[in-house]
Amino acid sequence: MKVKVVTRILEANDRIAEENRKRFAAAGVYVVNLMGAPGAGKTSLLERTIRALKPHGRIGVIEGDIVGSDDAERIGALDVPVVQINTGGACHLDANMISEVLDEMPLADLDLLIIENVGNLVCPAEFKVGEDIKMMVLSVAEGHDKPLKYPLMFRESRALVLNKVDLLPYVNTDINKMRNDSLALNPNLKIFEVSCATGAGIDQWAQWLNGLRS
Amino acid sequence: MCLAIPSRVISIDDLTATIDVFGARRQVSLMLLPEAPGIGDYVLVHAGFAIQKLEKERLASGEIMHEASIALSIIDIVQAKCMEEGCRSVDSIRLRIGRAAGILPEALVFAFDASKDTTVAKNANLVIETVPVGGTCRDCRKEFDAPENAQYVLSCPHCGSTSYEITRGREMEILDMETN
Repeated sequence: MKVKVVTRILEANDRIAEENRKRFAAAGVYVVNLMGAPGAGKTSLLERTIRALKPHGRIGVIEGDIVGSDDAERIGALDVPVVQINTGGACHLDANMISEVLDEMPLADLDLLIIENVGNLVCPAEFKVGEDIKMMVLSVAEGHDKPLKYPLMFRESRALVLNKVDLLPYVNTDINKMRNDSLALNPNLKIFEVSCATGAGIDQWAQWLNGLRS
Repeated sequence: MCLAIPSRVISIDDLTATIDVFGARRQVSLMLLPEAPGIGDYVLVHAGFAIQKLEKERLASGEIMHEASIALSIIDIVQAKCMEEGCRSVDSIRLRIGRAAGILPEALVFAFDASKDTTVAKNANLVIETVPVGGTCRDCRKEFDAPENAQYVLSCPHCGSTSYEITRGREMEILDMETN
């Protein structure tokens, strides 16, 4: 017997993501899902962003890593609420993992919640967690071939932060190609060039993010 | 998809194993494994090294790779549908997977087969229809498909315009199933 199903495979995830989204909206907190490859500078950008935006609002962080709590300790040192999720091998955060830790986060006291996803250029782009926007960090040292090799994350992101621009003289990366290919995949992508090492470009990025939130 | 690929050990010669990866034979080093696997075991391979012997239970728990969590979601949906319809077993499940959905069909079949044993889907095969990436040009208004395996287009293949809307290629859904 043929039985019609016609169900999106990630429907269960999307349903929990929608519940998370409602919870965030009720608490009045803007949520950013921060993605990027290992070593791109996600945690460094977070540290810079928190320092820049702390005078403008209250920020919380959920850290997703396969193992360990190094990132949560780095963020905790900035005196903002932080919760660490260890995925125990899974390559991405999903809506349920976020839902399970939300009680530990003082949502009502926050203006901005940044969820740092597991370092990976592929899987995190497929899973909604209830965020307002997805964004990604790509370091110029990763090479200009990345947008066309991993198109999904570039398509899904609202903003792209090109990090480590201070290294441009030392790497064979054509940053114009990086920008142009990214925009060809996603014409609405907002692109920022920053260096978390020197602080260059951080103000502009932080201002834009703060403007989105408020 | 994730980058460590589960592969079956075909033969072992000292610290080198011949493995089968979705039909292709390759040699990998066993140097990084604390103990040698047996013939027929599955190992995770990354950059030419077997990095872990694969426990079926861990695969089924969704921890090993991306497609495993997708496979478990499929089984959840199929079981719920079977409860609803009162069917006892499933022979085949038809899926639509877009080229740009980030899913390797071979890895999905592997993960599904490894996860289905104790479920209503234990005799089921996955039948996967892939959907090419495609869309509509905003300038010439024509529909287009990207070349067969492409995950993206950069311009309309008809008029070259870079203003277009992608409407297909991200699908990840269960269409129907054959039951008895």
